Order: sequence, then C-alpha cells, then structure tokens
Amino acid sequence: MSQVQMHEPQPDFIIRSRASLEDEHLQEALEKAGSGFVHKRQAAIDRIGNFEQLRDQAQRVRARALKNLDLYLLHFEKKVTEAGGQVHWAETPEQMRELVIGLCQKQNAKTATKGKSMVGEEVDLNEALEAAGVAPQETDLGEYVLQLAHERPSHIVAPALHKTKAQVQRLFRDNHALGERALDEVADIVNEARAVIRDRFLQADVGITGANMLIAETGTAAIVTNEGNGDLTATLPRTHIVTTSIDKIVPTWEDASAILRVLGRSATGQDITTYTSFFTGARSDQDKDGPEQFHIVLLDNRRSELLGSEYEKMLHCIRCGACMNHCPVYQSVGGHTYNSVYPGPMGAVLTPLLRHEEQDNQLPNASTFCGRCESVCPVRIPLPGLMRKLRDREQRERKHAGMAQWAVKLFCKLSRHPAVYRRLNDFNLRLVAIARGRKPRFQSLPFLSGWTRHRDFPAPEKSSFQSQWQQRQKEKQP
Amino acid sequence: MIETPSNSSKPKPQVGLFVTCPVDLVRPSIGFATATLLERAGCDVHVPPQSCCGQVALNNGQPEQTRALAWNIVQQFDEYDYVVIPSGSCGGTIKTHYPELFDEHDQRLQAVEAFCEKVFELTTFLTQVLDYTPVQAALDLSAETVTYHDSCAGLRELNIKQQPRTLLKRCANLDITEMQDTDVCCGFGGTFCVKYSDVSNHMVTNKVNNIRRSGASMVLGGDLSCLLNIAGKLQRLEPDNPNRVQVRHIAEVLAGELSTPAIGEHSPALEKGE
Amino acid sequence: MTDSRSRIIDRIARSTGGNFSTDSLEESFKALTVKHTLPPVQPQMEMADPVATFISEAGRNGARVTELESIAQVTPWLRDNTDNTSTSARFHLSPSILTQSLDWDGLTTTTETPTAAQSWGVVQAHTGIAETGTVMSLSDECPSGLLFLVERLVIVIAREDIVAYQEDAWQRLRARNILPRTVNWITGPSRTADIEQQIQIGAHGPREADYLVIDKPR
Ligand code: SF4
Repeated sequence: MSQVQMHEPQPDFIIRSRASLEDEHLQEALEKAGSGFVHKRQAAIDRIGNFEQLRDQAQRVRARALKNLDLYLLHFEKKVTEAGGQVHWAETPEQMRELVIGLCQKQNAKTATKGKSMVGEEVDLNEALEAAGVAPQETDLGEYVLQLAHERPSHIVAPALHKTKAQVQRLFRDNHALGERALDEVADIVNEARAVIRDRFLQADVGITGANMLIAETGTAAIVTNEGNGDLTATLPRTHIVTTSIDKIVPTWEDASAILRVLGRSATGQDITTYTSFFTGARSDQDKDGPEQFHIVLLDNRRSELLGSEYEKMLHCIRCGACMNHCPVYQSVGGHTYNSVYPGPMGAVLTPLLRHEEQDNQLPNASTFCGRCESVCPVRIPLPGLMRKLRDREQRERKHAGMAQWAVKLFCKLSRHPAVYRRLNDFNLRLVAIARGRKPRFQSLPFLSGWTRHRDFPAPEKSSFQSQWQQRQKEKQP
Repeated sequence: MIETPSNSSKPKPQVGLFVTCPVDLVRPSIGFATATLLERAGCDVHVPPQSCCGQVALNNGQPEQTRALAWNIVQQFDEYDYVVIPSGSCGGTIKTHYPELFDEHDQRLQAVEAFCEKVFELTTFLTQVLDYTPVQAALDLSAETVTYHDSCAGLRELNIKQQPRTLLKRCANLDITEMQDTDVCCGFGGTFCVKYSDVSNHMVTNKVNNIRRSGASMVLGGDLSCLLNIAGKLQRLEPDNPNRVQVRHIAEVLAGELSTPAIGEHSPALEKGE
Repeated sequence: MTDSRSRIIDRIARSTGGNFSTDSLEESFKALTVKHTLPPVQPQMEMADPVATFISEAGRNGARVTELESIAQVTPWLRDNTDNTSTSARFHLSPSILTQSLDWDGLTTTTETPTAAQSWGVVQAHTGIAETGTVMSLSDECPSGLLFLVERLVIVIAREDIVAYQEDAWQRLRARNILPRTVNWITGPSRTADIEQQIQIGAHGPREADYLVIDKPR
C-alpha cells in the first residue's frame, strides 16, 4: 500500500509558467507568431489533394528506418568513409563535446561557424567550444540573435520566436557599431546581420551544422534551410562537422523525399524550403568546391534504449515543430518554460526520456490532452498517448503517492461500487445545498482554489441525476 | 407538443444512458434532456447504476484503477443494444482508450472491444445511427446568434464536428456562427485546470474572448466540463452584465428544454423560441 | 570511441535483431531496400505538362521565371536586366556557362569569389523539379558557394532537364554514377522569418533568383 504523504511536485514548471504569462514581451512575441504557422501550414496542405497519404508514407519511412537502424547506420558509415569522410559515435553529450572539440583542435581552429543544430544545443556545444578556445559563431539569424542575448532557443524551428523586433533592435544597437545605419524595418535588421556574418563565413576554420536526415544509401547528410547560412557553413571552411543523432537515418533518397514532402509543409507551410542540400563526404578532385574534411558525429544519448520500447514512436520525430505551433500550452507560456532544448508536446515526451530528471516529470503533466499536436504531427506520433505513458512511469517510479494520487485512487475504489458512489454524491450535494443558500454559483471553494481563483463554479442542481431518475421511475410505476 | 415517431414494426433500440460524473453531480438536467431526446428518437432509455468512466485515473498515471473501473462499466451496460453518452470526452475515454487498457492476452479484451462498438456519443448516435430528424423542430432559434465550442476529445478522438451542427439545424432551425479557433482547447483538461491553473486561465480567457468576439448571445458545446470552465470564466469576467453570453449543453437545445437556467445563471434565458 | 560505436550498435540490435553480417553490409542493405521499396506517394497536383508546372510553382515560391528560346539569348537578357546605373555589375559564371560560346561583350565576367554588392551568379542547373519549382545543381558542375555568395542568382535550365517529381531527379542522379560532394536544391531566393515570423527575402544567400528556361542548347 502506498503511504499518504504531502508530496508536492517540484513546482518549477508552474513557477516558470507564471513568470512567462506575466512577461509582456514574450506574450507579444507569441501573439505575433501564434496563428501564422497554423494558417500557413493549412494553406500548404490545401494546395495539394493528398496530404494525409503523404503523412502515411512519411510515417512508414520512419518506421522502416528504425526497424533496421543498426544496418542502416553501419551502411551509412561505410559510405561516408568511401566518400572520404569519417563517422564518430558518441554515447553521451559529454562524448559528443569531446569529439567535436578534438576535431576542431586538430585543425587548430580558432573560430567555427555554426548552422542551426538542435543536437548541438542538446549537448551544450557552444559553451564547450568556447571553453576550449574555439569561438562558435552562430550564423542562423535566430541563433545569432540568441547568441548576442546569451539565451537558448525557445522553438526548434524558429529559435528566437520569443523575441520581439524591438528586443532584437536593442540587441543589435548594443552589440554592433551601427553608426548611421538604420534598423527600423525587419529588412534593415536582416541586412545588418547579413553584413556582419558574411565575413565570418569566409574566415572560419571549421563549419558545424546539424542534419535533418542521414541517407543510408550513400552516406549523405541532408540539410533543410531557408537563409543559406547552413550551406555557407558547410561549404566554405576546410572542415565540415555535422552534429546529429542516430535516429535521423532514412534508408534511400526516395525515402528522404517522403520526409521532405511533409517537413516544409508542416513546419513553415512551405512546399519545400528554399535550400535543400545533400552533403556526401569530402570534396573530390571533380568537385569545384567543398571542404577537405567531412566528419559526422552521431549522438545516441539514450535514443538506442527507446528503440523497441513503448516510447519508440518518439524516434519518428522529424523536428518540424508543428506540434508546438498548435499547442495551446506552448502558445501560452513559450518554449523556455519547458527548460529544455525540446519544448512543446514533442519536448514534453522527449525531455523526460533523454534527460530523465525529476523536474522533467512535470512536462508530460502540463497538457490538457487536447490532442491537437497528434492531429498535425506529420508522422502521426501519438504524443498525448506517450505523455500518458510517462505519467504512468512517474507514478510507478514514485516511492510515495502524493495527496492528489491518493485521492484519485480512493475515488476509483468508491466508483467501483455505484451505490456507494451515488450515496456519496448525494451527500456531497446536500452539503453543497446547505452551503450555497440561494447563490447560482461559487466564487471560492475549498479544495478547488485552482479553479475558483480564476473562475466561478456553478451551484449544482438539487440532487444527483441518478437519484432524480430513480425517483421519476418510481413515480411512473402504477 | 412534439409527438414520438411510432413507425415501429421493429423493436425499439434499448439504450443504456451513461450520463457522466459532471452531469450526474452538477447538472442533471442535461441527463434528462438526453433521455427525452432519445425517447423522441424512438429508443427505450435505461439508466443502470453507474459511476465514473475512469478518465481521471487514466490521465493521472493509474492504469490499473482505470482498468477495474472500465470492466465495471462494461458489465453494467452490457445488456443494452447501445450505450449513449452526452460527452465526447467520456465517450472518447471508453471508445478509444478502454481497448488499450487490456492487453492481447487478457480474456476480457474481446468483450471490451465488442462493448466499445456499441458505445456512442449523443450527437453521433442521433445523426449516424438513428438519422434523427424531428417531425417538428423543438425550438426556432433562427433569429439568435449562437456559437459552438468543439471540445477536444470529441473532435479529435471521435470526429465530432458536423454532427452537432446538423442536429441544431434540424431541431432548432439554427445555423452556428463560428468563432475563431473553435477547435482550440478551452484549458479545462481535467486535473490540469487545477494543477496548472494559471496556464489554464490563459487558455480559457482566449476561448472566452473568441466567444465574445463572435457576437453570440449563447455558446453551446457537447461536454459539460468544458462548459463549466467557459461559463465560470464568462461569469467571473462580467459578474454584473445581465447580457453576458449564456452557456448550455447541446442536448438542452436539441430537446427544446431551456426552462432550466443556463449554466451558473439565475433565471431562464432565451425562451423566445418557445 | 570504437567502444561507444559497438555499444550503441549492440543496444540497437537488441531491438532490431541484428540479423546481418557486417561483411556483407551492401548486400544486406540492397536486400532490404529493394525488397521493401515503398511505392512513392507524390503530391496530387496538375502535372500534364511538367514545364508549365515547374514555371508556376517556381513563381509561387519567389523565383522570377523567363522563357528564352536558346542559351544564346541569355547574355542579351542579362544586358537588358542589368540596372543601367550599375555598370559595376560583375558576373560570376559556372564552368558550364563559361564553356558555352556566349557573347559577353559589355558585361564584366570574373571567376573570383563573389563579395561585391553587385555580384551576379550565372549558372546552369542539372535538373529542374516541377513538383516544387526547384532546380538542382551539382558541385562537380558548379561550385556550391557561388550559389549562395552572389547577390543575384540567374539559373539557366533547359526544358529537357525539367522532370515532374523528386523521384525522377534521383533517377537522373543515379544514372550519372557519380555522386558529387554537394547536391544543391534551390527554390527561389534566400529568406528568413526569424524576426517576428515576418518573411524577409534575402537572408544570407541571393536576394533575387531568376530562372531562365531555355530550349535545348545547341
Ligand atoms: S513530434 Fe511530430 S509535430 Fe512535433 S516536431 Fe516531431 S514530427 Fe513535428
């Protein structure tokens, strides 16, 4: 039997969410971004007649990739090697940091340009590079803004989604020698960043990017971008390092197409992003440009343990961000509230699985299970179902049931005896009737202060439905 | 006023009515409206002893407790041709999640699956099983501006979208005025609204603002829990406005029973249609 | 880190079964992918005339498309479209354009790394994909950096090289037998939406993208 204990969940998410709800800048930024993603995605889907079939296909491709992941990874590695590149394997974030730093130091690199990489964020690569004397230079506009602000991404596709234009202007004023240059329009801001970052592309020793997919057939890393920074990062320096994870594999180029067809549409409502680039190995004699060295660093970080588990489907994720764009909780509190590189519904599942810290237990609980995420996920990951499994896991791992859990259990026990349940309800209702006097609703209720702090609660009708029904049936009898 | 269609050479469908906890406790009139509707549609209605569908336990890490409750319900309702529920949320718990609770080796699984086949949310049952069209509309609300909140589980687990709109047209001559983001969660979410009350408040505030912006004088929905949340917020925001939006369950309107005050309200509203 | 490698692979094999020999990776890979090839699912769209679809999709995605009769018309088009005031425009040519005997009279061509504000890139695409109005360039035909460093990118694409769907492009790529280091797909000008989700054309790459669709080169 579980003991009854006052065991409050760590209040982190709740405290953070309060701060986020009160943060005017954040709320302004969320408001501006909010429905844009939703409408653009819908418009892109409406332009073609068979998006649901494209989703099915993408889901099949992801399942097929994981089914023989070991073979595909080894084949990928073989092909990368044949193309003059090298694959490195990291079990932990720490190993990945060491590997990347080692590769940079071998090149005597002082600077590294960076394209957006969520795996890089997952392992805190920037801090590690800096500490090792390699200056990381973010080149994605959103990531660049965040580097100036010393902040983390709050969205997996639009990292600086939480920043308003005014905040970015202030950051640029503080950090750039602007002189006469204007910053009024978004175009001015973009031009300013373009000018500052352009030189860095040309001078960097190493370029570090992520990858959206790894194509096993040929040992190819595929990268999807709009700005063009990823390509300049991958192409101009002498060394190109890809930081990515083992789950990004797809078997063939045709399989890559199946993913590309849902990725852009789900993420930004684009049929395809401006740039889709496929990098295979190092530059050969025939190539007109490209890096002399090509390294792929593969991160596991507990992913291999999820294979074959009840959470395997989470590895289908293609990082499109649609789930957070459609999540009313994410849209209310923003990404930082999740305290993880992976926010929103996908993060609420992935973070407790990859990090498995006590505080992460809150994340799968902070959902109404409205199901909107699952309904838009291009690879049909049952996100609420996985969150529910994580809630079960939390209870299993817990030594002491909290007050609320104990109440749920008691309620269930009583509910198994409908007669008891009905009498209990009637008893409650009598209490309520005494309490309410003639009021149609309550402004405060003990035990329900979470409710009545923000809303009224209607006074129940005189007795329960079941009692009234029984009464009516009796009266009907001749 | 409205006669029962009695074209029955066929035996009447025997329907077990599962009213759900919130209806049982807070607003029994929805249960009676549902029963009236089902009877008008030619069913025999039965109310066996019942309790909770188990959703609270299911969503709070208690699969064993849920399984026990689920099996209880299956047994209590097994004798009826259909089980009808005036809630997409509890309907979704049963239809979508009960089978997941019993693994393939469990001998009860077959019975559970067969049971789920005959479980229906009210508006789906009326449109898709009975194709219910009243001989005469129960109300005429054609002059009213009314909006509809699509509750999440109903919408996404049971595909309830068109059913209520079809029935409102047939039974109350009403065309719904759609609000913005009608398919976005109201922030109720069971224990969520208490545990994460500030986030929930933000969500219900958005919902209520969309309702008000639609210009509606009444908002309807198919799940009492969401409606309690919405009504409670509307009333908290405008305690002294006698013209604030009224909140009702769709069954009340379909049955033409507006004599009970709207949720959380003192006096009956909108009886003009009578 | 070879230990990490084998530990990761072992953990994965617990779930996949690991039923293959590392000595015959290629055979096992082929057996799997050929056996399990999924019939492609392509977006439903008008595709009676891939060139027409290519032109409309490219236009919708922000590229400016012009149809020309032959490659010989490319330089006259460039002359017409160079801003009169900016005689400083410098044209960076891909090798495939360079080898065509075009009349560059009056236009400044260069092979330097593009840095100036008035840099134009003129390149020839390997394949066009109608599905999304995308052009494909290969790094053994055209330096990849050129596609991104210029202010204005002009891509010449022959009608015959336009295919309907992505799968058709993969077939053309496989037929070459050589996979270059970089395969670039380009759909319109570079863009960003990182500031308040407003789409801004011209991020780090070209601010303008012109596709010149030509009949078969002589
Ligand atoms: S879980 Fe689905 S919707 Fe969310 S990021 Fe991953 S693929 Fe996209």
